[in-house]
Amino acid sequence: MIELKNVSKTYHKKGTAVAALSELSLSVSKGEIYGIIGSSGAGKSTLIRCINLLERPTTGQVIVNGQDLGQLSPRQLVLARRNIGMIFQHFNLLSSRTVYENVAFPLELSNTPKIEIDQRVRQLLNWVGLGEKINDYPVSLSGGQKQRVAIARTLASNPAVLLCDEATSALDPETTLSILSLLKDINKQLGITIVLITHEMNVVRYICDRVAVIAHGRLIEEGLVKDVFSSPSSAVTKNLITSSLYYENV
Amino acid sequence: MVRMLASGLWETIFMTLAAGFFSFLLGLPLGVALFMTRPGEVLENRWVNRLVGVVVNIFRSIPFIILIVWMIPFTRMVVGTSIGVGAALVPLSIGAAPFVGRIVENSLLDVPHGLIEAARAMGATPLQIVRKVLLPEALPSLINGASITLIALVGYSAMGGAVGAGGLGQIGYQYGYVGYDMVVMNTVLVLLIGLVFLIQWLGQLISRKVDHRK
Repeated sequence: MIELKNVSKTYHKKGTAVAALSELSLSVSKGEIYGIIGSSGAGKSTLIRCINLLERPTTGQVIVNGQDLGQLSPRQLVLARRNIGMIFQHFNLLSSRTVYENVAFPLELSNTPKIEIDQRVRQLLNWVGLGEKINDYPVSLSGGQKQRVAIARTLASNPAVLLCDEATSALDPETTLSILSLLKDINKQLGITIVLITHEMNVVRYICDRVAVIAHGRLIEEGLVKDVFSSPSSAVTKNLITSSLYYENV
Repeated sequence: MVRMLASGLWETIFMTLAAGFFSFLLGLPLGVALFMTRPGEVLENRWVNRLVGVVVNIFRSIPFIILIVWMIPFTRMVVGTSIGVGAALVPLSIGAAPFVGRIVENSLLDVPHGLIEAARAMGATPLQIVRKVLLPEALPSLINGASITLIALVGYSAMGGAVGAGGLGQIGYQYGYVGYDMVVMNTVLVLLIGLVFLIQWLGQLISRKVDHRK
């Protein structure tokens, strides 16, 4: 479903080159929930942005749904992105639009007829449990409700893949759980492949099938969640596990 | 006398609004171009950005009273004369357009970058990003920018009055500076002050109406 081949990304800041990702390869199969974990500055954010080419890799290939995204024309890339959903840590809802209009946004982009938009938006908002907030503006919603709107919005265009960029990091533990179980439902009921990045061990443990640990822009280890966590083979992973236990005990 | 002041006021209001309209017609695309071609933005293009920036800065450094005179040949070409309200609209619009461009650019800079990123991720084209994300999200601030522009234009149009543009500026200049009629001059001032306050008040009212961030 998703394949990254030898992806490197180098930034140039004030004349010096900084490698955010080096020679990173991974593949995600259809229908799975794939977690990418690492501490801040490990390159997670850059990595997930490479999957829909919000960031263009300096070298390497990104293949989603059998399409090599780097080879597409700008117009084709726009169309390919409509098949790749994304949600964010800070939700990124449009403040000038109501809940309804936010969810309608991606459908307007693809010139969907108004009647079809109306049906789809109502159905999605009911599905995420916000049928009553339809005419509210995002400013009046809680964090969890905002993320539900964002999820409804990104599902509107029926994507095959959903990218989650620290989607629960701005939420309290209880809300985090409710959003994670919503993501699980999306995966199970709609068969959408999910890739998420997080620095929280528990998110991975709760929802992911497989996990990749990254540090300094490199893939440290990868495998089934239970294997990686029960017998971590690297110091980085051990550290992540210890620190998550530490926080649980505080 | 009252009739003269009333028609002067009307001319000033007309010049301000019409020049405001044309300066946004020219300045909005300038501001959008300045923003979209900035480093790190969707249509990043260093040369276009610099070129537009330089043109904007050049026009902004020309004092308005000089711009009016300097543009006379061009004004004659466009409206056929260099005297009167219609003729004043040409330098007013062109003088204010780069100012509007910078104001628009600044308003767009205040739109949270995550919104542009989200729109790109959803498969929005650059034009859709401008029309459906940037302009609506910046609307409250664009309206404030419009009232700043209109107020600047009230001042500019009064200056234009000194060289035959009509309006309250011309009355104030002829009766005040040339004829030293204190009553007329002060009435003109009060009318101008009232006009500025009215624009500011309306601007804030509308801006607050369309702002859904608080």
